[in-house]
Amino acid sequence: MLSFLIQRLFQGIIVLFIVTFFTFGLMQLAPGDPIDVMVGEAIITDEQIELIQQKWGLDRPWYEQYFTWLSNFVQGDFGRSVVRTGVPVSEMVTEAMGPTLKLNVMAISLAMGLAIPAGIIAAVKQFSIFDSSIMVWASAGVALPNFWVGLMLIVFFSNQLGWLPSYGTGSWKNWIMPVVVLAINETAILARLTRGSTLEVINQEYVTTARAKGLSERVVLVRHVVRNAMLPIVTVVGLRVAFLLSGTIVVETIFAFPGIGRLFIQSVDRLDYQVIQAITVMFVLFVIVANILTDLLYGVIDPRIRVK
Amino acid sequence: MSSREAQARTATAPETSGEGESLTGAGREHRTEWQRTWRRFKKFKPGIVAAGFILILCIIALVPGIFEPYDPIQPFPALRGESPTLEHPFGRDDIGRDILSRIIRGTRVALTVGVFSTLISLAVGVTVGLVSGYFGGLIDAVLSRFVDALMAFPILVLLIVLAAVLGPSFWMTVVVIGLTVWSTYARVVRADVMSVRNRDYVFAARALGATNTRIIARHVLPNVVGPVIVIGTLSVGSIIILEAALSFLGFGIQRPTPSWGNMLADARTHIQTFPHIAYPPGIMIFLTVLAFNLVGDGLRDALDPRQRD
Repeated sequence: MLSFLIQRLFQGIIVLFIVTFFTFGLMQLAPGDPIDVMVGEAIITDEQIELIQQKWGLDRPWYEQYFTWLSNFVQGDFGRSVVRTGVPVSEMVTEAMGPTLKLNVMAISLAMGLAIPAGIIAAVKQFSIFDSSIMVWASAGVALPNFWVGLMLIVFFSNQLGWLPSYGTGSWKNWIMPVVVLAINETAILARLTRGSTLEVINQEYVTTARAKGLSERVVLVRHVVRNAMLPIVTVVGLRVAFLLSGTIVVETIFAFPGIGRLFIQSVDRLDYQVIQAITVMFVLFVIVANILTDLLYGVIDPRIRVK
Repeated sequence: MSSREAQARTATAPETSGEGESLTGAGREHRTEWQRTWRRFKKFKPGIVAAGFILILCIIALVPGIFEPYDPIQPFPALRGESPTLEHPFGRDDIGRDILSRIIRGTRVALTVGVFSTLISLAVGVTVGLVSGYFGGLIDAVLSRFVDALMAFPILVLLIVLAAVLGPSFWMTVVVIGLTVWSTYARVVRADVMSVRNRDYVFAARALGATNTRIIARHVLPNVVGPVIVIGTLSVGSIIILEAALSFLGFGIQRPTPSWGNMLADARTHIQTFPHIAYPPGIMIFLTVLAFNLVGDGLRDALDPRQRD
């Protein structure tokens, strides 16, 4: 298990290396000279440009710039925002991180809380009306574009009924629509997956054995079926983190939600490359950590993995 | 004696080598395999309905001009935000354009991006998967890390950064999406190739002096055709959503070209005053994606009955 963990960590570091290198390279290709963005309309001499280049290290070769940036990044120094002059990017990112994390945790909890029980019940009562409606939802839910659902909720709950505010984070009411929108696709995916994996387990011989030795249906379901059916779900929830973060960008834009997704879109609009770079790498870091945690959790749940 | 004969047959007649799953080559067996697939697909009624819907969309996308009642681009500010009427069943948008005509033109945009991005990602993903799985070793390790890196990106983040850097345009959107969503093909094909690579018929082909290219093309590739078709169909749907999301955020299809995504962006700005602008594009995205997903589900059941859920 330990060597497996070390191997995964090592792979994660390599991936992070590729990603940072790629992101940094892209930023070099990006339109707009950082000096132009900094100076704006002011007229400056060539000597002044040289001074600025020296100060920011822009006169050095790109690979040197990359390693400087990387070592700063590892130490938690993400550079300074060009747009909000002089504000450390790390400050902007941590500020926006809180609401986004909360939003994502709430959305995934909601999705799991609804979809997993629904999927299990659908499998146990296969071919029932409940089962068919879950399957219909599973097909429809993945095809719903979340940005459109967001707009529809605003039309209905904000404009027509006036129950929920359409932007901001002031009260708990502000959170309802963003969380629901972010959870929609996930509930559909998880419900279908839970149903499928439960059905697969339910016909296994050890389940029949458990029934045959006289265990109550409830105990069979909880101890023998659900626990085994959870394995693929753990994997998929881990893999969905990347998709959830994509969804965050859309949801935060629709509801003007002051999180990292909105900061990202704002920074791209303003060509604030330091911020774009920092957020991109943070996102990837999230995904990698989530995947490693998934592998660990998998080992905890499934003893067979631990032995390997 | 008979076993050697069988081996020789396997080596010279590849269409019989895929343990009844082979989908390549000419001849009788191959045709019945497709017929069997079609018969299985037909049983899934939602898939048939969805395929019909996609066919209609394709016709609309090929010749949108015939179906557009009005000019989808020319603004008509005097009647901005007009509610649905008999002449304009979906109403007019925020600068007075007929929404139905824009939906029709948007169909062409959505399908073009969906199909061409899928083809690009399919080509890249299958190639990477084949090379990775067939050669293994260092090549596989390097390529696998690239696939990992790609999968670690929230795809929308990568697309937005690329669009911002390269400048958003129609074909840029197609290429950028195509080049970022191929990881699923690579992973599936790699795994399949690895399981096929050490089969007897592949050894037999190699012993007979077949080159790597020939072995891959004749013996390995046919085994991954089924899963690749399924992933491809499902991915058209997810790419259509991705394009719409990208255009909605302003980094995909640029105005005045109508895309269902940028129509929703316009709708968002005027959601208080003209909510009717927001209904049709969303419904179209939903129906189209649903249709591709249903056909994909049907194909999966038809091509690989073991995968059924």
